[in-house]
Amino acid sequence: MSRKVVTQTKYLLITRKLPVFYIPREQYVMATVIAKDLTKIYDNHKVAVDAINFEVFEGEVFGFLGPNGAGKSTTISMITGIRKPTAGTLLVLDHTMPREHRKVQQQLGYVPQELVFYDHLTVGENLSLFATSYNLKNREERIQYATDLMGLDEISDQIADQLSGGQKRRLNVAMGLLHEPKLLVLDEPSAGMDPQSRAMLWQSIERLSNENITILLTTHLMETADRLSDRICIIDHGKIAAIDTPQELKKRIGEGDIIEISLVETVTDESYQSIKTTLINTFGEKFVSNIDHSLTITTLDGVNALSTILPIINSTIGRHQVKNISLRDNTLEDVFISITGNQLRERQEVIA
Amino acid sequence: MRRLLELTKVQLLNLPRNRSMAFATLVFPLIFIGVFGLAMPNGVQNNATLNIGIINHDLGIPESTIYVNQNGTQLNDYFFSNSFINIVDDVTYDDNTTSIFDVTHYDIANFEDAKSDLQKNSISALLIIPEDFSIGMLAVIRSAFNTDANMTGITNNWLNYPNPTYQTTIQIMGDPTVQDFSIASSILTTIIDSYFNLGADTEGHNVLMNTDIAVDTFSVFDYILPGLIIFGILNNMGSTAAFAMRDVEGGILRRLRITNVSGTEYTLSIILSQLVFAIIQIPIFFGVAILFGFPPTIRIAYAFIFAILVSLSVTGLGLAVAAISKSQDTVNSMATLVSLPMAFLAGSFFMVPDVILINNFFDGNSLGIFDLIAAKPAIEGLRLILIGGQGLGDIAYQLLLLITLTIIYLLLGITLYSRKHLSPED
Repeated sequence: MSRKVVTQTKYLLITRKLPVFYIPREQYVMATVIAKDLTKIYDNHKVAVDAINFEVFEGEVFGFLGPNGAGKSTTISMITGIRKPTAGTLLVLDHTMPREHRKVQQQLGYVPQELVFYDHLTVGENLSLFATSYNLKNREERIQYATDLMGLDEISDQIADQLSGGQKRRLNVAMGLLHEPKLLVLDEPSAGMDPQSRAMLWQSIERLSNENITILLTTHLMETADRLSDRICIIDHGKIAAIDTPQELKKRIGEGDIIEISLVETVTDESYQSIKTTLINTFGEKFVSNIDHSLTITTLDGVNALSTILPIINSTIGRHQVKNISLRDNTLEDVFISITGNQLRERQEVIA
Repeated sequence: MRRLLELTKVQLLNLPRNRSMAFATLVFPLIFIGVFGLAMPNGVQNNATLNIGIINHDLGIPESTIYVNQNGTQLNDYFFSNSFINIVDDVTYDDNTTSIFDVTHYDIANFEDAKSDLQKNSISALLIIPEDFSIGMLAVIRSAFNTDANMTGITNNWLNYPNPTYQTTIQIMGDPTVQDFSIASSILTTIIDSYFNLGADTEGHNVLMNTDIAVDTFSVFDYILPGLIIFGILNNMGSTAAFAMRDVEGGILRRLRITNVSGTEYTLSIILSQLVFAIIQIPIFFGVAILFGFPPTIRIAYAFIFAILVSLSVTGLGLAVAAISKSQDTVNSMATLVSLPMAFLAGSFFMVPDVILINNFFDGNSLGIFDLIAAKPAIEGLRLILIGGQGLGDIAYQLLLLITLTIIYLLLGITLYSRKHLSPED
């Protein structure tokens, strides 16, 4: 999608209640969300968000990624005014949160991770309730817009409880954008959606983005985040691990290709470690990682690199010990794994 | 206002579209009153006579007091207790043949025998009429005529009358944990109230002299019905709390919180919808009671007001329970922990001895600890209306106390619920 891409280092801060940033001086970019040392501690000791700093600029799609329990939902709950920050400053749409959360409501749309609507109401009744809740004057027009956008027109008389999973998800999203919000927060909006519903959702997000709505999106679908987001923020253990454009993030772990090699199960741990050590010595530690008996090598020219890698393997464990080899482009998921590691997270996400 | 109405409509739509809600509102009263009606120890149609004792200490009207009845006859040495005891002796159940009481009359000297019979459960209650019973009655009569501008021409002949504020105390002894005592004491209380209320009426005064007071007849089921209805309404606390908690756990409340819906609008929508549910449910309670033999009467309309007020107070407590409960799983048991003791302490099934906090709190009524449970003045009010046959004017104390408590309960519920679920979370 075509849009201006801005990186944090290029901004000049203009002192005002709401900072103004610009790339060329004449083209100002407003920050819709500004977090300064934003911190959330539960029960006086569980640090969910640890003094994070970031901005979400007007009109951008801001991908907010992180493993389970990283602090994404907690951050979102503070942005939406549901939770109070323990420390730090949070400006949303020029208002201090949570003190001025009432002033933000009319401009903030929120689509929670869970399916949140009244089960016993029809699609139309749920939308009508939220249109009333937002005091919409053009309620019929906005309900029609939301039902059209999310493909709910034909099911507006159906009881929400009787909808399919994908239809429920679409209703969940429609309720968040009825009131033409300036900032739309989407927390895992595609969870449980079928591919068709997902495709419709991503198209809708692109359309909303083109209408200059700022979108803060959390998702575990890296490919989607890569495609839709102007900038990506990766949060882990309550801290921001990386924040940049998807292209810049991918450069961090090396431009080029990813080679993934799976070895047969009979290969001993010693042999496996020996191969890994040799590959690290050849390509550098930063570019070699592993999960069980699979090795991942990041390199600029994958095809040529294979002529180096295969002899290393053959000389260590002999021929016919490779189960599978794949060669592909570097992805955001590689960046994500590279930054957050590949260990399963025992820590449960603190549900906001 | 539009948001409030829309939210209330949303809550109300639960009734036609949510089976458990429909069951709780429409079927529960049917089953509840029906089961109790069928399971009454003596059956609805088979009223048992209760054994009670009476000791009469009444010294009558002193000779120094001149009392003239409506025929101009001077009645010194008149004993009001005699007419009162006649009523207790003669009062019957609905069938007009079965006596409610089999009365043993004890001499003053035989008080110990009476106590012994009480301990052996030979009698279920002992009514002790005090020495100043007749003076107390005269005080009530005088208070009635004091408010009569014309004094009906007979007060000039009255001398040495007791002060209108003079009060006499009638004791009913017995074991509150014995059901027969609860029934007997309730009926006796109703008769006493009716008797003295008649004295407080200028027309009733004339009737009183004929010693032929009509006391409504009723069955054991009639007696227990007010407590049952209030117990049934208290039972709604769990569904109200679950109702309020469901929106919390489902996340809809959080989502509504970031719209223009205010906490007040949301809580008011819960209260209004619960009020409508009560307006639908309470007539079913009374309707089923009538099916089981409760006499249909216009007084049920008054009782309806009491039941509605209790429903509102239960809504307040339901909101409070939703505020202190951790999840929807625990909300029902938490509500039961609150509602069940309340039902018993308020006297839904039998009277529980109270601890007096303030004597002569309002209009001669004392305020006990359990009077602070809204269900208690409600049960008392319902009994006075449905069994005692008294109008709203006669139960001002119970009504005012219930209104006050309902407002307090609602404010408590709204405050706790708003703080816990409608403010930004820590």
